[in-house]
Amino acid sequence: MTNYLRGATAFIGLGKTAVSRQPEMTFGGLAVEASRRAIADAGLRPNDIDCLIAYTRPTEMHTQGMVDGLDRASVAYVQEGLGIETLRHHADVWGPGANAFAPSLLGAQAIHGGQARYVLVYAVLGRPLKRKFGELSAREWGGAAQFALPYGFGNNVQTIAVFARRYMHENGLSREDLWRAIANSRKWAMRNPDALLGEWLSYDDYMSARMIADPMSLYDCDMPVFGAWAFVIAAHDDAARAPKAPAYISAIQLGQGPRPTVWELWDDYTVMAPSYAGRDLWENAGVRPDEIDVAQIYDGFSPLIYYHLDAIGLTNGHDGPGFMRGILEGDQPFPVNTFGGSLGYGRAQGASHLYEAISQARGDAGDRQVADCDVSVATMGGFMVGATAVVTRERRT
Amino acid sequence: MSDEGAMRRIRPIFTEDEAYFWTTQPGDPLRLARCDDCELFLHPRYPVCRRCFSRSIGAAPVSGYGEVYSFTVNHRAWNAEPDPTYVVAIVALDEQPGLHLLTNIVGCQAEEVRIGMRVAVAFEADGDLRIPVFEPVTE
Repeated sequence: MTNYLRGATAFIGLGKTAVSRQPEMTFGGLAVEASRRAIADAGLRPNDIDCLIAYTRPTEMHTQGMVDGLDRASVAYVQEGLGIETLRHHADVWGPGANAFAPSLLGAQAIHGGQARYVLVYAVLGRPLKRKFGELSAREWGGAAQFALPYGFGNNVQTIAVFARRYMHENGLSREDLWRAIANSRKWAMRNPDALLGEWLSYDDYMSARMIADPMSLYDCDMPVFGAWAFVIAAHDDAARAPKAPAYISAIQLGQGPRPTVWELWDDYTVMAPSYAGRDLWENAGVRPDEIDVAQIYDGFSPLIYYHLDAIGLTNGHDGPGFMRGILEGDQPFPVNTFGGSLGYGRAQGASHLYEAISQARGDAGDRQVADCDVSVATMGGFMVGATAVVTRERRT
Repeated sequence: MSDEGAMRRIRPIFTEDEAYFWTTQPGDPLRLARCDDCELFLHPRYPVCRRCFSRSIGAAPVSGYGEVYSFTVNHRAWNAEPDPTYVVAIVALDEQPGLHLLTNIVGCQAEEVRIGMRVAVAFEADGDLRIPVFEPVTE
Protein backbone atom coordinates (compact mmCIF):
# COMPACT_ATOMS: atom_id res chain seq x y z
CA MET A 1 0.00 0.00 0.00
CA THR A 2 1.06 3.58 -0.56
CA ASN A 3 0.69 6.15 2.20
CA TYR A 4 -0.69 9.04 0.15
CA LEU A 5 -0.95 11.13 3.30
CA ARG A 6 2.80 11.23 3.90
CA GLY A 7 3.79 14.90 4.11
CA ALA A 8 0.40 16.06 2.81
CA THR A 9 -0.74 17.70 6.04
CA ALA A 10 0.67 19.14 9.25
CA PHE A 11 -0.28 20.08 12.77
CA ILE A 12 -0.14 23.90 12.92
CA GLY A 13 -1.73 24.65 16.31
CA LEU A 14 -1.90 23.06 19.75
CA GLY A 15 -3.97 23.88 22.82
CA LYS A 16 -4.68 22.16 26.12
CA THR A 17 -6.13 22.71 29.56
CA ALA A 18 -4.37 21.91 32.80
CA VAL A 19 -4.97 18.38 34.03
CA SER A 20 -6.66 18.02 37.39
CA ARG A 21 -7.90 15.31 39.71
CA GLN A 22 -11.27 17.00 40.09
CA PRO A 23 -13.12 18.62 37.22
CA GLU A 24 -12.50 22.36 37.07
CA MET A 25 -14.94 22.74 34.20
CA THR A 26 -17.54 20.63 32.44
CA PHE A 27 -16.43 18.42 29.55
CA GLY A 28 -17.80 21.05 27.18
CA GLY A 29 -15.93 23.82 28.97
CA LEU A 30 -12.66 21.89 28.81
CA ALA A 31 -13.10 21.13 25.11
CA VAL A 32 -13.90 24.72 24.19
CA GLU A 33 -11.00 26.07 26.25
CA ALA A 34 -8.40 23.76 24.67
CA SER A 35 -9.87 24.38 21.20
CA ARG A 36 -9.77 28.15 21.58
CA ARG A 37 -6.08 27.97 22.50
CA ALA A 38 -5.23 25.66 19.59
CA ILE A 39 -6.95 27.95 17.09
CA ALA A 40 -5.05 30.96 18.45
CA ASP A 41 -1.78 29.01 18.37
CA ALA A 42 -2.40 28.30 14.68
CA GLY A 43 -2.86 32.01 14.02
CA LEU A 44 -6.48 31.46 13.00
CA ARG A 45 -9.92 32.65 14.09
CA PRO A 46 -12.66 30.16 14.97
CA ASN A 47 -14.53 30.79 11.72
CA ASP A 48 -11.45 29.70 9.73
CA ILE A 49 -12.12 26.17 11.02
CA ASP A 50 -14.33 24.30 8.55
CA CYS A 51 -14.16 20.82 10.08
CA LEU A 52 -14.48 19.65 13.70
CA ILE A 53 -13.67 16.11 14.80
CA ALA A 54 -14.28 15.10 18.40
CA TYR A 55 -13.01 12.32 20.54
CA THR A 56 -14.98 12.23 23.72
CA ARG A 57 -14.77 9.51 26.28
CA PRO A 58 -17.62 9.78 28.74
CA THR A 59 -16.90 9.76 32.45
CA GLU A 60 -18.53 6.36 32.57
CA MET A 61 -18.92 4.41 29.37
CA HIS A 62 -22.35 3.06 30.13
CA THR A 63 -23.99 5.88 32.00
CA GLN A 64 -27.53 6.42 30.88
CA GLY A 65 -28.74 9.94 30.36
CA MET A 66 -25.38 11.64 29.80
CA VAL A 67 -25.72 15.32 29.16
CA ASP A 68 -23.93 16.83 26.18
CA GLY A 69 -21.55 19.53 27.39
CA LEU A 70 -21.64 18.26 30.96
CA ASP A 71 -20.08 14.80 30.73
CA ARG A 72 -19.37 14.62 27.04
CA ALA A 73 -18.59 17.26 24.44
CA SER A 74 -20.03 16.71 20.98
CA VAL A 75 -18.95 18.56 17.86
CA ALA A 76 -22.28 20.39 17.96
CA TYR A 77 -21.66 21.62 21.49
CA VAL A 78 -18.12 22.78 20.77
CA GLN A 79 -19.06 24.40 17.47
CA GLU A 80 -21.58 26.49 19.35
CA GLY A 81 -19.10 27.31 22.12
CA LEU A 82 -16.52 28.51 19.61
CA GLY A 83 -19.07 30.51 17.64
CA ILE A 84 -18.25 28.75 14.37
CA GLU A 85 -21.02 29.55 11.93
CA THR A 86 -20.76 26.69 9.44
CA LEU A 87 -18.79 23.49 8.94
CA ARG A 88 -18.07 21.61 5.74
CA HIS A 89 -17.29 18.36 7.50
CA HIS A 90 -17.50 16.92 11.02
CA ALA A 91 -17.41 13.66 12.96
CA ASP A 92 -17.85 12.48 16.52
CA VAL A 93 -15.56 9.60 17.47
CA TRP A 94 -16.64 7.67 20.53
CA GLY A 95 -14.48 5.73 22.94
CA PRO A 96 -12.99 3.48 23.98
CA GLY A 97 -10.74 4.09 21.04
CA ALA A 98 -7.59 5.71 19.74
CA ASN A 99 -8.20 9.13 21.24
CA ALA A 100 -6.46 12.07 19.49
CA PHE A 101 -4.83 9.73 16.96
CA ALA A 102 -8.04 8.51 15.29
CA PRO A 103 -9.61 11.97 14.89
CA SER A 104 -6.26 13.37 13.71
CA LEU A 105 -6.05 10.70 11.02
CA LEU A 106 -9.64 11.45 9.98
CA GLY A 107 -8.76 15.15 9.88
CA ALA A 108 -5.69 14.62 7.68
CA GLN A 109 -7.78 12.44 5.38
CA ALA A 110 -10.50 15.10 5.18
CA ILE A 111 -7.97 17.75 4.14
CA HIS A 112 -6.22 15.52 1.62
CA GLY A 113 -9.59 14.43 0.26
CA GLY A 114 -10.69 18.01 -0.25
CA GLN A 115 -13.47 18.04 2.34
CA ALA A 116 -11.85 20.64 4.60
CA ARG A 117 -9.09 23.24 4.80
CA TYR A 118 -8.55 23.74 8.54
CA VAL A 119 -9.53 20.86 10.83
CA LEU A 120 -9.83 21.17 14.59
CA VAL A 121 -9.52 17.90 16.48
CA TYR A 122 -10.03 17.59 20.22
CA ALA A 123 -10.04 14.97 22.94
CA VAL A 124 -11.71 15.37 26.34
CA LEU A 125 -11.10 12.93 29.14
CA GLY A 126 -12.49 12.48 32.59
CA ARG A 127 -12.09 10.23 35.53
CA PRO A 128 -14.47 7.31 35.61
CA LEU A 129 -17.05 7.36 38.35
CA LYS A 130 -16.20 4.96 41.14
CA ARG A 131 -18.68 2.12 41.01
CA LYS A 132 -18.54 -1.34 42.41
CA PHE A 133 -18.95 -4.37 40.18
CA GLY A 134 -22.17 -5.20 41.95
CA GLU A 135 -23.72 -1.84 41.12
CA LEU A 136 -23.63 -2.47 37.40
CA SER A 137 -27.10 -3.00 36.05
CA ALA A 138 -28.07 -6.12 34.15
CA ARG A 139 -28.17 -4.05 30.99
CA GLU A 140 -24.56 -2.96 31.48
CA TRP A 141 -23.30 -6.50 31.73
CA GLY A 142 -23.60 -7.07 28.04
CA GLY A 143 -23.15 -10.61 26.82
CA ALA A 144 -19.56 -11.46 27.68
CA ALA A 145 -19.27 -9.73 31.07
CA GLN A 146 -21.33 -12.51 32.67
CA PHE A 147 -18.28 -14.75 32.24
CA ALA A 148 -15.98 -12.32 34.11
CA LEU A 149 -17.83 -10.37 36.83
CA PRO A 150 -18.88 -13.43 38.90
CA TYR A 151 -15.18 -14.28 39.17
CA GLY A 152 -14.35 -10.88 40.68
CA PHE A 153 -12.87 -9.71 37.40
CA GLY A 154 -14.10 -6.42 36.04
CA ASN A 155 -11.50 -3.72 35.45
CA ASN A 156 -8.42 -2.92 33.42
CA VAL A 157 -5.97 -3.20 36.32
CA GLN A 158 -6.84 -6.88 36.61
CA THR A 159 -6.71 -7.28 32.84
CA ILE A 160 -3.26 -5.75 32.50
CA ALA A 161 -2.19 -7.91 35.45
CA VAL A 162 -2.96 -11.18 33.67
CA PHE A 163 -1.42 -9.90 30.43
CA ALA A 164 1.71 -8.68 32.24
CA ARG A 165 2.24 -11.91 34.12
CA ARG A 166 2.21 -13.90 30.88
CA TYR A 167 4.42 -11.35 29.09
CA MET A 168 6.89 -11.41 32.00
CA HIS A 169 6.85 -15.21 31.94
CA GLU A 170 7.52 -15.49 28.21
CA ASN A 171 9.93 -12.58 27.78
CA GLY A 172 11.85 -12.57 31.05
CA LEU A 173 10.52 -9.17 32.10
CA SER A 174 10.95 -8.40 35.82
CA ARG A 175 9.30 -6.02 38.25
CA GLU A 176 12.54 -4.04 38.13
CA ASP A 177 11.84 -3.55 34.41
CA LEU A 178 8.34 -2.32 35.23
CA TRP A 179 9.85 0.10 37.74
CA ARG A 180 12.22 1.43 35.04
CA ALA A 181 9.23 2.33 32.86
CA ILE A 182 7.74 4.30 35.76
CA ALA A 183 11.07 5.82 36.80
CA ASN A 184 11.73 7.10 33.28
CA SER A 185 8.34 8.80 33.14
CA ARG A 186 8.75 10.25 36.63
CA LYS A 187 12.22 11.54 35.70
CA TRP A 188 10.70 13.63 32.91
CA ALA A 189 7.60 14.55 34.94
CA MET A 190 9.94 16.24 37.43
CA ARG A 191 10.74 18.73 34.63
CA ASN A 192 7.12 19.38 33.69
CA PRO A 193 5.22 21.72 36.04
CA ASP A 194 1.91 20.48 34.57
CA ALA A 195 2.59 16.87 35.59
CA LEU A 196 0.62 15.53 38.55
CA LEU A 197 3.29 13.09 39.74
CA GLY A 198 6.51 15.07 39.34
CA GLU A 199 8.33 13.22 42.10
CA TRP A 200 11.01 10.58 41.91
CA LEU A 201 9.98 7.02 42.73
CA SER A 202 12.80 4.89 44.12
CA TYR A 203 12.99 1.19 43.44
CA ASP A 204 12.53 0.47 47.15
CA ASP A 205 9.42 2.61 47.36
CA TYR A 206 8.07 0.91 44.24
CA MET A 207 8.66 -2.56 45.67
CA SER A 208 6.94 -1.70 48.93
CA ALA A 209 3.83 -0.25 47.24
CA ARG A 210 0.41 -1.72 47.86
CA MET A 211 -0.59 -4.43 45.39
CA ILE A 212 -3.87 -4.01 43.54
CA ALA A 213 -3.82 -7.09 41.34
CA ASP A 214 -0.45 -8.84 41.43
CA PRO A 215 1.85 -8.01 39.62
CA MET A 216 0.21 -4.57 39.28
CA SER A 217 0.80 -2.25 42.21
CA LEU A 218 -0.50 1.25 42.80
CA TYR A 219 2.41 2.85 40.92
CA ASP A 220 2.04 0.64 37.84
CA CYS A 221 -1.23 2.44 37.07
CA ASP A 222 -1.63 5.98 35.78
CA MET A 223 -3.71 8.54 37.62
CA PRO A 224 -7.11 9.41 36.14
CA VAL A 225 -7.52 13.11 35.40
CA PHE A 226 -9.80 15.63 33.75
CA GLY A 227 -8.48 17.63 30.78
CA ALA A 228 -8.75 18.44 27.10
CA TRP A 229 -6.27 18.57 24.23
CA ALA A 230 -6.84 20.20 20.84
CA PHE A 231 -4.99 20.13 17.53
CA VAL A 232 -5.33 22.17 14.33
CA ILE A 233 -4.42 20.41 11.09
CA ALA A 234 -3.87 22.01 7.67
CA ALA A 235 -2.53 21.10 4.23
CA HIS A 236 1.26 21.33 3.92
CA ASP A 237 1.16 24.50 1.80
CA ASP A 238 -1.10 26.27 4.31
CA ALA A 239 1.16 24.95 7.09
CA ALA A 240 4.21 26.53 5.47
CA ARG A 241 2.48 29.92 5.84
CA ALA A 242 1.42 29.38 9.48
CA PRO A 243 2.91 31.77 12.06
CA LYS A 244 4.55 29.01 14.07
CA ALA A 245 6.56 26.00 12.91
CA PRO A 246 4.38 23.08 11.83
CA ALA A 247 4.85 19.39 12.55
CA TYR A 248 4.32 17.48 9.30
CA ILE A 249 2.32 14.27 9.50
CA SER A 250 4.41 11.48 7.99
CA ALA A 251 2.06 8.73 9.15
CA ILE A 252 -0.76 8.08 11.57
CA GLN A 253 -1.88 4.48 11.82
CA LEU A 254 -4.56 2.63 13.72
CA GLY A 255 -4.72 -1.10 14.12
CA GLN A 256 -6.72 -3.92 15.59
CA GLY A 257 -6.14 -7.62 15.98
CA PRO A 258 -8.45 -10.63 16.18
CA ARG A 259 -11.39 -10.91 18.60
CA PRO A 260 -11.43 -7.29 19.76
CA THR A 261 -14.41 -7.67 22.11
CA VAL A 262 -12.88 -10.32 24.37
CA TRP A 263 -9.24 -9.37 24.86
CA GLU A 264 -8.98 -11.12 28.21
CA LEU A 265 -9.56 -14.41 26.35
CA TRP A 266 -7.01 -13.89 23.56
CA ASP A 267 -4.76 -16.86 22.96
CA ASP A 268 -1.58 -14.73 22.86
CA TYR A 269 -0.98 -12.21 25.62
CA THR A 270 2.36 -10.98 24.24
CA VAL A 271 0.82 -8.88 21.47
CA MET A 272 -1.77 -6.11 21.63
CA ALA A 273 -3.41 -3.83 19.05
CA PRO A 274 -0.43 -1.41 18.95
CA SER A 275 1.51 -4.10 17.10
CA TYR A 276 -1.04 -3.92 14.31
CA ALA A 277 -0.90 -0.11 14.40
CA GLY A 278 2.88 -0.36 14.08
CA ARG A 279 2.91 -2.52 10.95
CA ASP A 280 5.16 -0.99 8.24
CA LEU A 281 5.21 2.26 10.20
CA TRP A 282 8.71 3.31 9.14
CA GLU A 283 8.13 2.43 5.51
CA ASN A 284 4.83 4.29 5.48
CA ALA A 285 6.32 7.29 7.28
CA GLY A 286 9.42 7.37 5.08
CA VAL A 287 11.84 7.39 7.99
CA ARG A 288 14.24 4.84 9.46
CA PRO A 289 14.04 3.87 13.15
CA ASP A 290 17.58 5.20 13.66
CA GLU A 291 16.39 8.65 12.54
CA ILE A 292 14.04 9.03 15.50
CA ASP A 293 15.02 11.90 17.76
CA VAL A 294 12.37 11.50 20.46
CA ALA A 295 9.62 8.98 21.28
CA GLN A 296 6.43 9.17 23.35
CA ILE A 297 5.72 5.53 24.14
CA TYR A 298 2.35 4.84 25.73
CA ASP A 299 2.56 4.00 29.41
CA GLY A 300 -0.98 4.02 30.80
CA PHE A 301 0.14 0.92 32.70
CA SER A 302 3.85 0.24 33.17
CA PRO A 303 3.97 -3.02 31.15
CA LEU A 304 2.46 -1.30 28.13
CA ILE A 305 5.76 0.45 27.38
CA TYR A 306 7.26 -2.94 26.54
CA TYR A 307 4.37 -3.95 24.29
CA HIS A 308 4.70 -0.65 22.43
CA LEU A 309 8.48 -0.90 22.08
CA ASP A 310 7.96 -4.34 20.53
CA ALA A 311 5.18 -2.94 18.35
CA ILE A 312 7.22 -0.27 16.61
CA GLY A 313 10.45 -2.26 16.49
CA LEU A 314 12.57 0.23 18.40
CA THR A 315 14.12 -2.59 20.37
CA ASN A 316 14.81 -5.48 17.98
CA GLY A 317 11.95 -7.71 18.98
CA HIS A 318 11.87 -8.41 22.68
CA ASP A 319 14.87 -6.47 23.95
CA GLY A 320 12.71 -3.80 25.59
CA PRO A 321 14.22 -4.28 29.05
CA GLY A 322 17.74 -3.65 27.71
CA PHE A 323 16.50 -0.54 25.91
CA MET A 324 14.88 0.90 29.04
CA ARG A 325 17.90 0.06 31.18
CA GLY A 326 20.10 1.87 28.68
CA ILE A 327 18.01 5.02 28.56
CA LEU A 328 17.50 5.21 32.31
CA GLU A 329 20.96 4.28 33.45
CA GLY A 330 22.73 6.39 30.91
CA ASP A 331 24.81 4.16 28.69
CA GLN A 332 22.34 4.62 25.82
CA PRO A 333 20.47 7.83 26.55
CA PHE A 334 17.36 8.39 24.47
CA PRO A 335 14.46 10.71 25.29
CA VAL A 336 11.23 8.75 25.92
CA ASN A 337 8.03 10.30 27.35
CA THR A 338 9.57 13.76 27.70
CA PHE A 339 6.34 15.22 29.17
CA GLY A 340 6.29 12.68 31.98
CA GLY A 341 4.19 9.97 30.35
CA SER A 342 0.81 8.88 31.60
CA LEU A 343 2.56 7.50 34.69
CA GLY A 344 3.98 10.90 35.62
CA TYR A 345 1.67 13.41 33.96
CA GLY A 346 -1.77 11.78 34.21
CA ARG A 347 -4.19 9.61 32.27
CA ALA A 348 -4.64 11.44 28.98
CA GLN A 349 -4.88 8.08 27.18
CA GLY A 350 -2.54 9.08 24.37
CA ALA A 351 -3.67 12.67 23.75
CA SER A 352 -0.70 13.99 25.73
CA HIS A 353 1.70 11.59 23.99
CA LEU A 354 0.65 12.95 20.59
CA TYR A 355 0.66 16.52 21.90
CA GLU A 356 4.23 16.22 23.18
CA ALA A 357 5.44 14.51 19.98
CA ILE A 358 4.09 17.48 17.97
CA SER A 359 5.55 20.03 20.41
CA GLN A 360 8.98 18.42 20.11
CA ALA A 361 8.89 18.38 16.29
CA ARG A 362 7.84 22.05 16.32
CA GLY A 363 10.74 22.94 18.62
CA ASP A 364 8.18 24.21 21.12
CA ALA A 365 8.68 21.92 24.14
CA GLY A 366 10.29 24.53 26.38
CA ASP A 367 12.73 23.26 29.00
CA ARG A 368 12.19 19.72 27.80
CA GLN A 369 12.99 20.43 24.16
CA VAL A 370 15.24 17.80 22.60
CA ALA A 371 18.03 19.52 20.67
CA ASP A 372 17.78 19.51 16.87
CA CYS A 373 14.60 17.43 16.92
CA ASP A 374 13.27 16.41 13.52
CA VAL A 375 11.64 12.96 13.68
CA SER A 376 9.20 12.48 16.55
CA VAL A 377 7.11 9.38 17.20
CA ALA A 378 4.13 8.72 19.47
CA THR A 379 2.14 5.60 20.25
CA MET A 380 -0.97 4.87 22.28
CA GLY A 381 -3.24 2.02 23.20
CA GLY A 382 -3.56 -1.28 24.94
CA PHE A 383 -5.59 -4.46 24.51
CA MET A 384 -7.80 -3.83 21.44
CA VAL A 385 -6.86 -0.16 20.97
CA GLY A 386 -3.70 0.82 19.13
CA ALA A 387 -2.32 3.83 17.27
CA THR A 388 1.03 5.17 16.12
CA ALA A 389 2.13 8.49 14.65
CA VAL A 390 5.29 9.94 13.11
CA VAL A 391 5.56 13.72 12.80
CA THR A 392 8.55 15.63 11.50
CA ARG A 393 10.01 19.14 11.47
CA GLU A 394 11.14 18.71 7.86
CA ARG A 395 8.45 17.64 5.44
CA ARG A 396 8.93 14.10 4.09
CA THR A 397 7.23 13.15 0.85
CA MET B 1 -7.92 -20.98 47.90
CA SER B 2 -8.47 -21.18 51.62
CA ASP B 3 -10.25 -17.86 51.81
CA GLU B 4 -12.61 -18.61 48.96
CA GLY B 5 -15.58 -18.15 51.23
CA ALA B 6 -14.53 -14.56 51.81
CA MET B 7 -15.03 -13.68 48.18
CA ARG B 8 -18.41 -12.12 47.70
CA ARG B 9 -19.40 -13.49 44.38
CA ILE B 10 -21.66 -11.49 42.12
CA ARG B 11 -24.32 -13.72 40.71
CA PRO B 12 -24.17 -13.96 36.93
CA ILE B 13 -26.91 -12.40 34.87
CA PHE B 14 -27.60 -14.45 31.76
CA THR B 15 -30.23 -15.33 29.21
CA GLU B 16 -31.51 -18.79 28.28
CA ASP B 17 -28.84 -18.82 25.55
CA GLU B 18 -26.11 -19.13 28.20
CA ALA B 19 -27.96 -21.27 30.76
CA TYR B 20 -25.86 -24.30 29.66
CA PHE B 21 -22.91 -22.73 31.51
CA TRP B 22 -24.50 -21.72 34.79
CA THR B 23 -27.27 -24.24 35.45
CA THR B 24 -25.64 -27.67 35.29
CA GLN B 25 -26.80 -30.46 37.59
CA PRO B 26 -24.47 -32.33 39.97
CA GLY B 27 -22.50 -34.85 37.91
CA ASP B 28 -22.88 -32.86 34.69
CA PRO B 29 -19.71 -31.90 32.80
CA LEU B 30 -18.73 -28.32 32.01
CA ARG B 31 -20.33 -27.30 28.74
CA LEU B 32 -19.31 -24.54 26.34
CA ALA B 33 -20.94 -23.03 23.29
CA ARG B 34 -19.95 -24.84 20.11
CA CYS B 35 -20.83 -24.56 16.44
CA ASP B 36 -23.12 -27.45 15.53
CA ASP B 37 -21.74 -27.54 12.00
CA CYS B 38 -17.94 -27.21 12.21
CA GLU B 39 -17.64 -27.99 15.95
CA LEU B 40 -15.56 -24.92 16.80
CA PHE B 41 -15.96 -23.97 20.45
CA LEU B 42 -17.03 -20.32 20.80
CA HIS B 43 -16.48 -18.85 24.22
CA PRO B 44 -17.99 -16.49 25.15
CA ARG B 45 -21.01 -17.64 23.17
CA TYR B 46 -21.38 -15.76 19.89
CA PRO B 47 -24.54 -16.18 17.80
CA VAL B 48 -22.64 -16.83 14.54
CA CYS B 49 -19.66 -19.11 14.05
CA ARG B 50 -16.56 -17.09 13.17
CA ARG B 51 -15.11 -19.99 11.16
CA CYS B 52 -18.00 -21.31 9.05
CA PHE B 53 -20.63 -18.57 9.68
CA SER B 54 -23.18 -21.14 10.77
CA ARG B 55 -25.97 -19.75 12.90
CA SER B 56 -26.57 -23.07 14.57
CA ILE B 57 -24.73 -22.68 17.88
CA GLY B 58 -25.27 -25.26 20.58
CA ALA B 59 -23.41 -26.33 23.70
CA ALA B 60 -21.10 -29.30 24.05
CA PRO B 61 -19.32 -30.92 27.00
CA VAL B 62 -15.59 -30.46 27.53
CA SER B 63 -13.25 -32.58 29.62
CA GLY B 64 -12.84 -29.80 32.15
CA TYR B 65 -9.05 -30.16 32.09
CA GLY B 66 -6.58 -27.49 31.11
CA GLU B 67 -3.66 -25.42 32.30
CA VAL B 68 -3.21 -21.96 33.76
CA TYR B 69 -2.29 -19.60 30.91
CA SER B 70 -2.00 -16.60 33.22
CA PHE B 71 -3.42 -15.31 36.48
CA THR B 72 -3.53 -12.44 38.93
CA VAL B 73 -3.83 -12.46 42.70
CA ASN B 74 -6.38 -9.78 43.45
CA HIS B 75 -5.70 -7.70 46.56
CA ARG B 76 -7.96 -4.69 46.32
CA ALA B 77 -11.49 -4.88 47.62
CA TRP B 78 -13.81 -3.91 44.76
CA ASN B 79 -16.99 -4.94 46.56
CA ALA B 80 -16.13 -4.41 50.23
CA GLU B 81 -15.09 -8.05 50.68
CA PRO B 82 -13.71 -8.83 54.14
CA ASP B 83 -10.69 -10.45 52.44
CA PRO B 84 -10.29 -9.47 48.80
CA THR B 85 -7.43 -11.93 48.15
CA TYR B 86 -8.46 -14.32 45.41
CA VAL B 87 -6.98 -15.75 42.23
CA VAL B 88 -8.42 -14.92 38.84
CA ALA B 89 -6.92 -17.15 36.18
CA ILE B 90 -7.12 -17.66 32.47
CA VAL B 91 -7.33 -21.39 31.87
CA ALA B 92 -6.42 -22.83 28.46
CA LEU B 93 -8.68 -25.83 28.00
CA ASP B 94 -7.35 -29.03 26.42
CA GLU B 95 -10.09 -29.27 23.79
CA GLN B 96 -8.99 -26.63 21.34
CA PRO B 97 -5.92 -24.37 20.97
CA GLY B 98 -6.76 -20.90 22.24
CA LEU B 99 -9.95 -21.99 24.03
CA HIS B 100 -9.51 -19.81 27.10
CA LEU B 101 -11.81 -19.43 30.07
CA LEU B 102 -11.72 -16.80 32.79
CA THR B 103 -12.21 -18.36 36.22
CA ASN B 104 -11.06 -18.59 39.83
CA ILE B 105 -8.49 -21.08 41.11
CA VAL B 106 -9.67 -22.68 44.35
CA GLY B 107 -8.38 -25.50 46.48
CA CYS B 108 -4.86 -24.16 47.00
CA GLN B 109 -3.11 -21.12 48.41
CA ALA B 110 -2.86 -18.12 46.09
CA GLU B 111 0.94 -18.26 46.19
CA GLU B 112 0.90 -21.84 44.88
CA VAL B 113 -0.67 -20.92 41.55
CA ARG B 114 1.75 -21.04 38.61
CA ILE B 115 1.56 -20.52 34.86
CA GLY B 116 1.36 -23.96 33.25
CA MET B 117 -0.24 -25.58 36.30
CA ARG B 118 -2.67 -28.41 35.41
CA VAL B 119 -6.19 -27.68 36.64
CA ALA B 120 -9.61 -29.30 36.51
CA VAL B 121 -13.10 -27.89 36.74
CA ALA B 122 -15.05 -27.92 39.99
CA PHE B 123 -18.48 -26.45 40.66
CA GLU B 124 -19.51 -24.11 43.44
CA ALA B 125 -23.17 -24.14 44.33
CA ASP B 126 -24.77 -20.73 44.45
CA GLY B 127 -28.50 -21.17 45.05
CA ASP B 128 -29.91 -22.79 41.93
CA LEU B 129 -26.73 -22.03 39.99
CA ARG B 130 -23.45 -23.92 39.81
CA ILE B 131 -20.44 -21.69 39.19
CA PRO B 132 -17.60 -23.41 37.29
CA VAL B 133 -14.23 -22.81 38.98
CA PHE B 134 -10.92 -24.69 38.71
CA GLU B 135 -8.65 -26.46 41.18
CA PRO B 136 -5.18 -27.96 40.90
CA VAL B 137 -4.91 -31.50 39.54
CA THR B 138 -2.97 -33.66 41.95
CA GLU B 139 -1.26 -36.46 40.03
